[in-house]
Amino acid sequence: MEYILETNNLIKHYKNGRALNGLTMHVEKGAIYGFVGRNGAGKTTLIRLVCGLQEPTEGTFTLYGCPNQSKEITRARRRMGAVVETPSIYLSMTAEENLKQQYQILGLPSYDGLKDLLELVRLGNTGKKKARDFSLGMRQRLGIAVALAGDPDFLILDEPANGLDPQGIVEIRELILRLNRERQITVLISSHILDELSRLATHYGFVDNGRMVKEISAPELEASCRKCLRLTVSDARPLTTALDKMGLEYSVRSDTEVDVYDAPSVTELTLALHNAGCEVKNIHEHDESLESYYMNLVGGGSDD
Amino acid sequence: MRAKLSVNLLLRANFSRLWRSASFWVSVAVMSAISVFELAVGYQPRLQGGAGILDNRYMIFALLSGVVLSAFCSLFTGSEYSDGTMRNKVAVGHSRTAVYLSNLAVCAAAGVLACCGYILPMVIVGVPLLGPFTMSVSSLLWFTLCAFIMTAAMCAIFTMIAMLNQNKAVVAVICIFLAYFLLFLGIYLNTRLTEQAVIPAREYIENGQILVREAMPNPSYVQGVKRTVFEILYGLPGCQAVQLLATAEACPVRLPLASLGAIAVSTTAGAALFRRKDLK
Repeated sequence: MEYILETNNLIKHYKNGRALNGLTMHVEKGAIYGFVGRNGAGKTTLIRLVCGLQEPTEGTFTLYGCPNQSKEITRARRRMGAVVETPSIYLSMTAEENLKQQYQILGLPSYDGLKDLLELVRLGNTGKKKARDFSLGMRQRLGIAVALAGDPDFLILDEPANGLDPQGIVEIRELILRLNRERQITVLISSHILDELSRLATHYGFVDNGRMVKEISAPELEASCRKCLRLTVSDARPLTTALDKMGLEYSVRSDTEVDVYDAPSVTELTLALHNAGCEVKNIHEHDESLESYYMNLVGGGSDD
Repeated sequence: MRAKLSVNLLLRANFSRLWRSASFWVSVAVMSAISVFELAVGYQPRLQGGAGILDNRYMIFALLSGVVLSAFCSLFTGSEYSDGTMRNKVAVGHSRTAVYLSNLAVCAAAGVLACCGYILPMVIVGVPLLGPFTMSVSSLLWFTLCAFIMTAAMCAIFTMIAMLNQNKAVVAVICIFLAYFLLFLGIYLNTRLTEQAVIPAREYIENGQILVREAMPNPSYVQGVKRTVFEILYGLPGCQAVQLLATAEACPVRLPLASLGAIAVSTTAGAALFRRKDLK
């Protein structure tokens, strides 16, 4: 497995407490990694550390296999683009001027590709309009364009949908998907808008109180969130025999609990179980969304 | 192909931002406007047959530069934080020292250019209008060089404050307050340090009799450790502007040396603290 970013037991102390409390995570190459957590969970702090804006108090991370203590980390960061918290753009400049600034900072030999980049983020027709007159969505897209100026393989977006209207959210989502599919850019997105994230992410990392609670791929998550019938019976063995005979997909949760994924004939199933001497104690439809999965994982406490 | 990152790239980007910066052009315009105003005021006595001495009016830019640049440096550097663009530079792998030094270099260059905004009208319009300078060209150039170095030192201090504090408004208030404080401190120190040690003897008439008052020590004269402290403070950039004007033609070498020292100390401390600073 090739990882773009791996963190190992990262700890970050601020004056008012710990923001990261031994965070370990793995961002696979080519993934859209949804970094999920409530406000104050440590998402932005991790991004600041990876971007070199802050130093970890303890722990390490590697970016493209390069350890954070190594001098080569700055070279690794050149392959990365980031929008941390708010878009980092000069409000007194136009979209094109902002990109030219970034091209100069990166030492790119010419402005070739600048127009294409503006078109990619749908800001090609903004002309002499200053960034301060842009909508929030336009600023966010310009911030992404600035982050893409160095042609990165890894893009970090911190709450990219925050404050955007529905149209803006759709535009950002489409842009991220395009970047991932067409340019094979690995994306790390921090967010607490779970519904939006579930439409994008191929992997998830659930963080709470500065710790990674669970890392899971989208198919794994989908499997655990699939709509199913959850049957509680006196003994799961006759039930699995009956399900096998009926050719239905299922998973055994315990000696007495089984999730059935296909839509079975409940009458047929209960009759089969009755004949096998198995008592059906409870049947209910189980449909876990990303939101409920997350709430089950971290508990439903209030935001800090 | 990714270019090797260096401070030159940041300098190029910063200068390109400087030419577009409204605060820079406002600073130059303010300095030029004051220069023109000074010429107009100096021309009045000449119209009435008196002499309009250019020298004193020329030197005023040393007093003004600190105040004007306190606003410029805090706005120019502060917008890197308020717009969040400081993050772009660090996140793509530029070293913090390079980011700090490039900002300092551009602020210092802007400071000198703003001073030129004062000097150019003074020379181009002032000489034909008020007549030539009375001090020698070498003295004039030496004074100008000392004032430029002091301006760069002021910029180094303002840059340090702006780079270590992410709140642009707070930085602007601190820098402007500091510029005025140093200026008024300079005026106060000049007054105290130019007190004579002894009040000379003098004759005066009282009830038709000529009386003589003996020479006596001046109680306002500053001496000892206090005088040493005052002299050190008088060499600080900002305070130094008053001293530059007072000594004009024979500006002592210790003044530019003190300014260079201030640049070295503020830059070393500022860059070291900036390297350890948690950026947001």
